[in-house]
Amino acid sequence: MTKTILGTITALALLSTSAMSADRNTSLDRMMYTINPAVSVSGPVYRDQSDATTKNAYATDLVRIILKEADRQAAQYRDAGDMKAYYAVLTMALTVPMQEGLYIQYRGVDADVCNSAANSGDLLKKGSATTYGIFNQYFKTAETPFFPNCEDINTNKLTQIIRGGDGSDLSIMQVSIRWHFDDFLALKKYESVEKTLQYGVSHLMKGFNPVYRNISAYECLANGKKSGFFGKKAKVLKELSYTDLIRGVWAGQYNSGSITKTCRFADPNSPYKNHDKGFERNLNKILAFNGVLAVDMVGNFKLDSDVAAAFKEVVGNVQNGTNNNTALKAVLSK
Amino acid sequence: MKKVLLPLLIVIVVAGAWWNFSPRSSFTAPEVTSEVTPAPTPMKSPEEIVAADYEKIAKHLSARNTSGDEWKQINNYSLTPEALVTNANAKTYFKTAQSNVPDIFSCLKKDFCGMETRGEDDAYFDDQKTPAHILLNRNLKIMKESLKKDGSLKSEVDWDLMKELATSGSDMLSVEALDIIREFDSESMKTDELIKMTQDLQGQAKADALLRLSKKSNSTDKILLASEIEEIFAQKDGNTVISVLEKLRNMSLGANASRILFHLCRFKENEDKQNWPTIKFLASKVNNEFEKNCN
Repeated sequence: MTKTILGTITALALLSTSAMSADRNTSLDRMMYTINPAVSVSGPVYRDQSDATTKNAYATDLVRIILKEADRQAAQYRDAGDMKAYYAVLTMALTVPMQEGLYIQYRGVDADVCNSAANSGDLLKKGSATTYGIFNQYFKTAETPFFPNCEDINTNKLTQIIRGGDGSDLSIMQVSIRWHFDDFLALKKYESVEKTLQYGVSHLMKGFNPVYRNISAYECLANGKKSGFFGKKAKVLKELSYTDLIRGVWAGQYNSGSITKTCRFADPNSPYKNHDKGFERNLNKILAFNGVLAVDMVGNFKLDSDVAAAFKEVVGNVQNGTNNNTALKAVLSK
Repeated sequence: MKKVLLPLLIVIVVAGAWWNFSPRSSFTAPEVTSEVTPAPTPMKSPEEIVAADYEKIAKHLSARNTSGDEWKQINNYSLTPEALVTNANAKTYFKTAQSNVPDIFSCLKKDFCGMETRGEDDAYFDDQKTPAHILLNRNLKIMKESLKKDGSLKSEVDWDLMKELATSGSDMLSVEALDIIREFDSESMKTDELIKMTQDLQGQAKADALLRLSKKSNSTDKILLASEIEEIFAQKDGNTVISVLEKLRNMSLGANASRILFHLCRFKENEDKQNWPTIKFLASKVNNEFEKNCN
């Protein structure tokens, strides 16, 4: 019996230890470039080996930054009193980093996980000497290269940045360097979470504004058909669903590069319907937020009560057409 | 013993409940919906990917223009054209940029200079802002900066090409080419002709073009601009209307601006009435009586 008690105590002790720290999330190893330890990056760093409290604080910081940036870029809607559009922008800004970058821009890890194939410059030499020279400037040949070769990194305490696709999508907003090299890449916006979010949300707004302002032109968002006299179909306006608007902006502007593809999400035959279903799942998670964010492959984050309350107000407002903002104002004012 | 066991049992039950309901520090989610996926093998570096896209454009350009430091600087987007072009090097940069423009424009029209999506699963293709658009636009900006630094270069500009670019249907190129014509060919191109060249532009591009045309315009030009904006307010789509309205105050149209606002009252009840709060808000900054005048 004493043995049983001792065993139980040991189990309890182990239980508490595992709550304080975690194993490395190896799924993330292949999604990262390793950043030069000599380069400073700005913004919260996700540490998968840390305890739950640290992770929760990380996510709380990140959500606070997202809300502030979205508020800044949606300010005209807010000041004009179009609160539905305002909360739609905030909800969109909360969803896209989850869809795109797992709510991670930078990862801090204590392990030898620098990926030589990703960080090496040798692969470049397949291209011409000229273009190699031109583009090398961004990540490799600067005095302090952002991505040094792994053998030049003399520490196992690494900071990494998330990458995706074939390696050309970078950061929490998965900005494609193929398409955004003149600004995001050249001006090194990836070195800061805030600047990355500024860029990403601004790219979303380039879709949100023109689509929302011409909403009647989008069959999937604002138009319905109803039978009129003699069986004639008449065009009628249906009430705008702001969550559909968010889905449309992501499907068109953000994922397709064109607002002409806004209604892709409503097309059952779209070759990209799985992309849109994935986005819908993440949007639904955001809309159903009850204090804990569940991020695929990463885990659950319990947000601090003040930020959680602001989050709930935003998603409640976008779904109910309300304007409850006491907690949101408090978060934005800090 | 029983006395010891009971509190322990309680502790175990509480700990079990905590473990079940507290956020887990790490787990493997069964379903992945996010855009981030493990990178393929062999991986490509970002430079390799961008370089491959760029190689397709560079092969359309003269070899002389794509070698050496000048080409490197043209492609160094962290350097603004203002910082890049000096009085001393204006002629050289002008010559190279002007020679690149028709070559890039030609391959852009043909097949976006070979730009493609990265595969079947990649939906992204911005046909208004491919790498070739960006490079062409950069060359236009460098040309403009060279012209500012050395006025004698005006006679060397291919104005027909500029006009073609201005009406090319590409937002960013149209706005930039129009700006070059406005600033350096105003003797032969009058404001009404320039306004005509913006006919096919919409939204932000239309607003950007009109804002640029409003610079340095005289009072007659301002009347022409106001007349164009009046037509936009009366007839065009919500996005173009709001984009222009956002920039109206910066166009310094004076009393003309206030006069044309009443056309916006149509948004109070039309099918894009979601725009009414924004229109009301922006128009009231120009004329605080705006809303009252719509009643």
